[in-house]
Amino acid sequence: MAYVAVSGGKEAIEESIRLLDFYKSGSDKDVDVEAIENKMSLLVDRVMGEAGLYAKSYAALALKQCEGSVDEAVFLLRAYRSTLTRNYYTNAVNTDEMRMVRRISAAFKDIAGGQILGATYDYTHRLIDFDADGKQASVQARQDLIAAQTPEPVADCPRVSDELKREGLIDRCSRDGRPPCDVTVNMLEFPAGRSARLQTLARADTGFISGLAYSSLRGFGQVHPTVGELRCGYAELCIPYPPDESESIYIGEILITEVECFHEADDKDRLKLAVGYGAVFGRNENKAIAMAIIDNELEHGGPHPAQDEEFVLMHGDSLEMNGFISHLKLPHYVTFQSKLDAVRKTRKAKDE
Amino acid sequence: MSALLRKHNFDSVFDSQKMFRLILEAMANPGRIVRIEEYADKLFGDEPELLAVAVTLLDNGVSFSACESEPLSEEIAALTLAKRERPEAADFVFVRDLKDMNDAIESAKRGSLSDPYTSAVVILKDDKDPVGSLMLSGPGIDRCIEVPVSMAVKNALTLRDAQEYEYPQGIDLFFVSSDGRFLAVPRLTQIEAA
Amino acid sequence: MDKKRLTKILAKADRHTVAALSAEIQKTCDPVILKEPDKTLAMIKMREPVREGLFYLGEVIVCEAAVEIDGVKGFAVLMGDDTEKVLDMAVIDAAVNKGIFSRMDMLFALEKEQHDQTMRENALYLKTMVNFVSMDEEAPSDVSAFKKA
Repeated sequence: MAYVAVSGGKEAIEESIRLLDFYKSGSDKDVDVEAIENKMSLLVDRVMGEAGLYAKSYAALALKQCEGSVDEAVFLLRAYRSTLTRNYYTNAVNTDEMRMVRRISAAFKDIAGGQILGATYDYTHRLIDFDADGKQASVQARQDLIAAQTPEPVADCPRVSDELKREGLIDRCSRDGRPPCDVTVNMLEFPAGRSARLQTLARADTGFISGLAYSSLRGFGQVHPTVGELRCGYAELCIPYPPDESESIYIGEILITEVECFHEADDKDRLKLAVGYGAVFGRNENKAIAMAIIDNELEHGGPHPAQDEEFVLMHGDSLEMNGFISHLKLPHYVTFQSKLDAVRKTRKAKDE
Repeated sequence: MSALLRKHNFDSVFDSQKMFRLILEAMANPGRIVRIEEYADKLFGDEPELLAVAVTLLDNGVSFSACESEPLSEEIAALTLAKRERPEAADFVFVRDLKDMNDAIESAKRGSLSDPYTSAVVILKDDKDPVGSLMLSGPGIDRCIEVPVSMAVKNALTLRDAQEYEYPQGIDLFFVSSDGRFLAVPRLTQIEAA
Repeated sequence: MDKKRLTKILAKADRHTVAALSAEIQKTCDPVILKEPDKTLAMIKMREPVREGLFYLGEVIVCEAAVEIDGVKGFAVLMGDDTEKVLDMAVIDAAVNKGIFSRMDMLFALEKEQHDQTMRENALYLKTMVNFVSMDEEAPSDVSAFKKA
């Protein structure tokens, strides 16, 4: 593919960039980054997830900068992240001890720790609220609400799958201490290890993953899984204390959603259940569920798209897919000219 | 808060970039002595020249040894987050006392045939005066170059050759002095017979 | 008090409280900056429950700083980009390491307040706990039903 260098566009380009401000100036009302961060958190979560960077105010700022484009915001975050050093690796996050804000199971009615609906749109009536504009939720009201509560100790929520493992219905594996693959450092190779697969899926484009999961549900795969458990909560991050690695220090907590989906294991082995796992930043539950479905499909293998490792893992990265589609706008004059010539020649030959 | 004094004045972006360019120049033109005192002066402590090399080249992805010099080891670990290792397994070996030179060179990692870059860089502090010179040749040198060297450098290179590394295995040597002179001898640089 | 507990209390405290603790320490000694506070990344390592293996979920922006008080080093790393707070935390860490930190009372008080706040917030979530009543007598309601089957 030959690119042609063109010159003479400098002024046009500068004007084009200035024109972006024109598109953002239809109103004197500004959008505060703080407002985006707090009142559009699901969008912020999506951008953080697809960028692979947990930084809420940065994601909010990126969204503001590029008029809410998820693709552009992911690009900005990935570009910014590449300018930073990576000095630390956290200790393995133990999500068994997550501070739950939402936790449900579609497999069992009664689970240890209970079903906690948390904050969700699942049960809202999908009716546009024409009074939503102008409603002001205040920070003070929020603090007052918390202050008015009677403290309740955070209860243990053991995994649903743990109970099934005890029954022998799900395989229990011993702790695998192998260092994980890092697809941000090394090229993805096939067959991909499980850690490479999970990391790639966690940062994949939400639409792509959801579509693939949907295809599996509709028959291009194992069909109907059950959400064994969906857990959303705050997980603590700790790193080894630099001068003395036998000690750890707390650096903060992140909000994540984890899903375990149960499937019947394949036909010959109806003695057990198979489990798929999904995890994302923030509250994007559908992506976590979709990821768990695909994890199971890839584990199972088969002829369908959602079961094809290379198809799934190579085509889901937001930056790569949008970058490649976008590059088609670059001048391809020489290549296209030769294609046109080939077509003209064929027509001429036919006419003769 | 910005009222606090800084122990070091070395800028982790701009100064390390300039140091890197100097080290690169020395590696690419073996025998050419570059001066790093401007950057070493920005670092506080007993071994600012070694520290200048450390903060430029090391990060949390590599390992180092300071040959039992605990204060230097602690400072390098604190500034770079590089992992402390035994000399025979370290990516970078800092020798501040020449009595440790022989052990350091003999045990330093030579890399493997398929991954020769997993070898060690040995950085030696040498304040001895030049006594004579060596003729060096190899990549980056136009035929031959005569370099005034100290006894320590001569001994180090003799010892290096005595290891009989099989190409492309080998070690790279840096010599730094307290007045900021820096000499690099990459593995393919040879000593010509006098 | 171990490092994890100390850093958790400071991390959750607001920046002014931490700044005040640091200022108090600085009245009696002269901390020197070893590593200028700066932003960096921490890669999040997770353990997944299906194969009990490790994987990287993604990176998080953190800031770090290191100081020295009379040769004794203190380090701090904190999620986010509050470089002033992380520097104050490093000063406190150095003071603890040197044995001159005398405000444990303040830390205990903060810890209790933070714990209380967490429990109050938790109460809000527990309000959304469901008490299902199954409309189908036959459907197994929990895992232990498998034992009987």
